[in-house]
Amino acid sequence: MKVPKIVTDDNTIAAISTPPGIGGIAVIRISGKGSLKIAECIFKGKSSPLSVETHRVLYGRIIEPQTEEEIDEVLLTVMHAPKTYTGEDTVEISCHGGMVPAQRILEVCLKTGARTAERGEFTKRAFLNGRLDLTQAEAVLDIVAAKTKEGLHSALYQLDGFLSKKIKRLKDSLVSLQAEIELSLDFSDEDITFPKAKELAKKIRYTLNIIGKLIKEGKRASIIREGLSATIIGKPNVGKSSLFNALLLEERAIVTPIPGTTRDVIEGWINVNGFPLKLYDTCGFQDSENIVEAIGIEKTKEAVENTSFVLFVVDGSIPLETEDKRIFNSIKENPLIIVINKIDLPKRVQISDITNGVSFPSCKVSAKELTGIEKLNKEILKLIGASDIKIDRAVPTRTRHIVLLSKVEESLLNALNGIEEKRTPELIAFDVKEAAGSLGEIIGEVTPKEVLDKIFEEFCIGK
Amino acid sequence: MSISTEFFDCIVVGAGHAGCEAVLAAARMGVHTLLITIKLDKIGHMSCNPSVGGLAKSHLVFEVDALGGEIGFNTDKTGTQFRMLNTSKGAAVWSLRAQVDRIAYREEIRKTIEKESNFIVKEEIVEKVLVEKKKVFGIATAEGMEYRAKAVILATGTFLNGLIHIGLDHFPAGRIDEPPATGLSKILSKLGFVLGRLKTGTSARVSGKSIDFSELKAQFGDEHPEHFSIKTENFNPEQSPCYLTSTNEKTHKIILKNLDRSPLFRGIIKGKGPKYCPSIEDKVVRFRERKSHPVFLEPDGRKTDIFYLNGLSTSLPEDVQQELLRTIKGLENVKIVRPGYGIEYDFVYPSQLFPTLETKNIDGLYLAGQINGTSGYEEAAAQGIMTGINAVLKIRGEQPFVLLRNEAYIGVLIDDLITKEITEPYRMFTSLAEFRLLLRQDNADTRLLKYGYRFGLVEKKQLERIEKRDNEVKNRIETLKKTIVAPEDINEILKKKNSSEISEARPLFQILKRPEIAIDNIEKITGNIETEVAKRVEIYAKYDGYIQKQEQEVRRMKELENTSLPLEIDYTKLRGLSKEATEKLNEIKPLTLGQASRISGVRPSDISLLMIHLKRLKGSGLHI
Repeated sequence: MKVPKIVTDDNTIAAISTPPGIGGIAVIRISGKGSLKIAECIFKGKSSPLSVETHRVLYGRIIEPQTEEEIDEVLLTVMHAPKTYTGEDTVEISCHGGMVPAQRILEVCLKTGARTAERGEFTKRAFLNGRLDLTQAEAVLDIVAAKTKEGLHSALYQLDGFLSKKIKRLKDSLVSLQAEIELSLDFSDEDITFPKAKELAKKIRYTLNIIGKLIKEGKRASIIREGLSATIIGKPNVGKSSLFNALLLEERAIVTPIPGTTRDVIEGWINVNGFPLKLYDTCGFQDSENIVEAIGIEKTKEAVENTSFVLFVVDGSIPLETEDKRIFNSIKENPLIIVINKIDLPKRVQISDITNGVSFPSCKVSAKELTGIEKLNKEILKLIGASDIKIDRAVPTRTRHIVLLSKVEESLLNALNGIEEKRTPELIAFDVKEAAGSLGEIIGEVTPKEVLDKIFEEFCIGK
Repeated sequence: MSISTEFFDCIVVGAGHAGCEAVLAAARMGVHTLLITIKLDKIGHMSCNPSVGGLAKSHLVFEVDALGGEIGFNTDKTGTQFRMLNTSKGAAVWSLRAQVDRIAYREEIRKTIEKESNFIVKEEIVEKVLVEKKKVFGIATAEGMEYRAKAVILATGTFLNGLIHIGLDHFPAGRIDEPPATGLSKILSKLGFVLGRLKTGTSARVSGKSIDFSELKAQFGDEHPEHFSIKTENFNPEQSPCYLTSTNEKTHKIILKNLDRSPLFRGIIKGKGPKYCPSIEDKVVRFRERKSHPVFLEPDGRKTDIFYLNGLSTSLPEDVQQELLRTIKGLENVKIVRPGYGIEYDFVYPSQLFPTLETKNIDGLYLAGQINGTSGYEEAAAQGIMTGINAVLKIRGEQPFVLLRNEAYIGVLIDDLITKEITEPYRMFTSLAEFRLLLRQDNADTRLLKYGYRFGLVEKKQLERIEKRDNEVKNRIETLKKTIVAPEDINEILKKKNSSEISEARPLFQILKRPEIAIDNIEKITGNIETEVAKRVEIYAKYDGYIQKQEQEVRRMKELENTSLPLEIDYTKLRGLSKEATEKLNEIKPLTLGQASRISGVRPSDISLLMIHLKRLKGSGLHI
């Protein structure tokens, strides 16, 4: 097994270089001393990025280095300094279009030691390394300046409202934690009751809990922007695969069979008015009537649980059957759209037979004739409440936030571990400070003054 | 007009803890130095509590000592009690604190200074700093004398426009029985310096005969006391106890009843006092729920009967002070020898200084100590020795001496002063040092002795001794890493120490990393190691992993630290900087990108911009 080499050099940067949204391909660019090493860690192909000559294109797969899980099929270009855009060692990875493969590749780059590039940073480096001339440099200034203006409220500005409030609270709790530990270090000669290790651990656990939730929420929030997913469900022969293909056909997206236990499910990416949507087709269920009977429902449930919503497909040309009802009942608690397929044939279905008067969004299509697909897209947008959300360019930043929050989590776990092993408090303080530092990268630095102020505010100091 | 003129290389104004170190460093480095003080017999006077060191401050003392300063050595000679604080925590925050004989301290430091051949002392009041074309060339005194020099160090403490408050009475003074320096403030303003005003305070001194010690808890020094200085040998001080008592509700009632006679609460005192050292009236008002505050009775010295009441700093009127003191256990019949008082004084905003503590405005003029907004003898001493060294280097035309934040608390102190806003008297805390785990008492000599030696302030034999010790530490660590112990050889020891037993052989160093295992515990395997070496080996084991992480942080910082910013940059002309960053950068004029990045309000994107502008400046020769 390839063990990920953590590149400690803080100066290797990575970002998705293609605009957000759906394109045929997406490009992830890595620049800096560690870029080749990172490529080596996450790439599996016939040749290795470290051993090839400069300006070569390699074919292979990007894997999650720890689990060896495959992320995408890619073309990887190796370019050695100085003849690159930035003037540094650079690796460009072209993967399939759609934000999710690109996001996941970026994530493994960050995990193996790169950090997210700030806006304009590739260009800035190009300039600093003498790859751009003075007039071009002016343009760079504008880019960075633009960031400064909006950056007045720093990255906070880029955060969602609900996230920003929580992160602020989180910062406060970290400052308090730090203050409590520092109190016992800098003011041990004062007449104060110092927090016990147990209480400290409890507080760290409480903060960890919030961070864990935040990471989860952050991930969910990023899914909304970076890609929702839907499962196509229905009994055999209602035209699920045709619908799947019809949706994909329009966008010419890529279909990848998922290996392993989920081999019965096929996924693909489509673009719904600029929103990436991952589509799962449970067509594998059609293999045998018996499987549907025995494990079909189980599998359906599982697929449904992992996606944002369900496209429930019925055959419009025949009346509903018990099987339709059974499937419907198992999924009706989820957000769903009833897709009445085969409207090219005479209509004989009666939806109210299963809905019992409750209203569900529905849409009539003919997958075969490709009619009604646009209307279905609209229904999808309405369902996910995204008909008026614009895709925001700060996508990588969001990944950055989640990565940073994970760092906070890691440092706090270290601190907790330290308390359990009875390490001395200045070492616990180190970990907590590190956690605060990672958080500081999101919403602005936590200064020692802030920590001391907290102490003076809450404790009677000074003999 | 001056009566007469004399010539020197360097002049130090003020003979407190900053002035003493400055004059000693300068004279010992071989330049002809003049020390001017308002009162000759107050050289090295401790005007507040009679103690040196304590949390984070002791780190400064160790560092000044390693550079060849005197505060540590002088404290070792005159200390009456030595205690290591924070010993239940890790080595980075251990701090030595000493009670000191106030009079003996003064006598000793004066003796040390007078032994120096390159120097002269005068008792006069400085009224003027002589400047021509933004360059200092001497001083003039109230007595009409004029002294010329290439460098002038001002270490005037609270004497700048000092105003003492006792109750609603107030009068100009430097310390309680000494005149203030009023002319100097005006001169500094005129020279273009921006001055602010701070407040500090001190508590009453009482007669020991009037204290009833029978009921009070005594606090003794350590059984095996440690000392500050590498110069100290055969350390075996005679130690005397301090005593502990506390205020009570009766005391607080008296304070609350008399708040209308407190200059602090009447708003008469305008200067900002230290949050970490509030007056008793402040504590009682802010923390009303507390029924009691501790009071430490600290002896002023061996040959005096006077006690200092630590914890009772106040500016209430004397009659109130007496009334409230008499409610405290042990002080029922106490007699005040001298009341506590609050003092307001001018300081120069230290953002007007270079990291050498030379002023940006006037060439050759250095400021050290309380004049820069700091509090504490240790903080003053640290600045004193740095100005002394730098003034001489400047006179000789050599490279300045600046310590970085990862090298010393002194580096943190000075960088904070010149970079951050001073809103209250600045004192050192370990939490202000981001590389705290690297900056310890035990390695102050390892970190700084080489500099002291380079400047001729430390003897070669000291350096050799420390280098030998450090080599031994290194070798021992290597050996421990290579020594693989089998479970049967170590498990018995582990069991005894309540540490989990091992099932397979592993390096002894790994075992020593465990918090519950001390190096003595494994002596059977390591053999006898000299205490000074063993202590350090153990610290490296406990901090293993953390030290490496900190060193990584240091490397990251260095990149910015090594990029210098030209002083003449007009930040208002740089496109794209945030408004706040522009204002702060223009005000502080940082010398490096590192310093710029530590200014509050300057963001990473501003630093990016500065990098681009710098590159452009270099590449094109254009002015920005």
